[in-house]
Amino acid sequence: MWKKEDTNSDRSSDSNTQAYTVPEATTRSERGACIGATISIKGDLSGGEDLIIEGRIEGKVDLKQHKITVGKKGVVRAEMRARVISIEGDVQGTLYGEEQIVLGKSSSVRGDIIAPRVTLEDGSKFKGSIDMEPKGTEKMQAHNPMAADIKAVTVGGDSVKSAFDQLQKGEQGAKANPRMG
Amino acid sequence: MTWTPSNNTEAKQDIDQVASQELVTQSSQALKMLCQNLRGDKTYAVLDLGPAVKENVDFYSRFARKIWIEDLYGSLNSPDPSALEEGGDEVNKSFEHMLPYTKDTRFDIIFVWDLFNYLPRDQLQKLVSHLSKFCNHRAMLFSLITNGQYVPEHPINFRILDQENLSYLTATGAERVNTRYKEPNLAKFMPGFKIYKTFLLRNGMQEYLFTLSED
Repeated sequence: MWKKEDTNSDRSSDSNTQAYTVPEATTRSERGACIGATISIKGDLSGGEDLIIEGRIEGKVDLKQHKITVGKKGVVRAEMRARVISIEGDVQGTLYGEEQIVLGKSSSVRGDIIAPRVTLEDGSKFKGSIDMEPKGTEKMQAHNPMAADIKAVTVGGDSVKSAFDQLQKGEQGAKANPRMG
Repeated sequence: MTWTPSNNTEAKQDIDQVASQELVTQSSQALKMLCQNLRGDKTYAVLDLGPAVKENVDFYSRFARKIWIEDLYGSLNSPDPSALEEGGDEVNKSFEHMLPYTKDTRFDIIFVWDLFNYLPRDQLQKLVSHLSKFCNHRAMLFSLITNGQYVPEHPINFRILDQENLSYLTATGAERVNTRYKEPNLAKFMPGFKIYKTFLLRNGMQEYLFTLSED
């Protein structure tokens, strides 16, 4: 049976969860759009420019080709997707960074990070997982001279398979490699 | 702006405490051995039970495909109340709650650092038992056990400088009684793991590399 109250409550809940698209004309600036400290948003947010979050967001934030900056006062309980995500505030959720994710010195992050490059600054608090993705790992190792060092130690030290690898395969690595005692 | 002598004194004490700490660098044969056994053409799943440390994450990222950072000591000292609400085996429940991995999670390397010094035997056993469910065959576990009677009140934040050197700030102030796990018994408290290699350091710490055994 149709009830007036039901319709109203549906509308009310729709308005809480509808997708918000940042209108370019009203928010474009050199620094990008900004969600101020007193603004609270529940729902999905997407757009075509950089975004600075100083307020509170719950839901999803999707700015795939752009940068999201969560300021010191920013509180985010959301899945975020962006080219670069830089955090100084409080974030809980899964973060997808196409290029890089930076956890600043005042950041507090709990959740899973998926990005080819992740930077933790001293003082940042993080709990969760960091997934470098296979593609990202290759890219990073190619640009990281220390990755070559480890490879040199491993391969250069032994012409046979490393003991760790043998261990992984259940072989008797310790016996095969005298260094393993 | 109002100047308050008490705040100033507290701030000075903080500065003095930091100033009195000494940065120590120590050679780590266990870390060196672990690194020697990494293959350059493989990537690894790394679990660090310590807090997030920039240098360590940078280091892991050179060979890891995925890194988990848990700060387990911090979680144990400020547990989520919902983890303990249901009663029963509280410790076990809290490990399952604090370290809730998916069934397909498999670690290759676990950095425990000196956390074992702060865990009573039953807690240590339950932690290791829980983690072993999520380890690849022959996963390696790196741990530092202090042999002395006392340990700093809180675990040390170790920083990996390179493949064979660690650094940390010496602890000041309060100490607590050490659990003093000894080599012959330690493996017995760690179901599924056996001691793979151990190194006694000059400062009384003993480095251990454990491996998940087939037995």
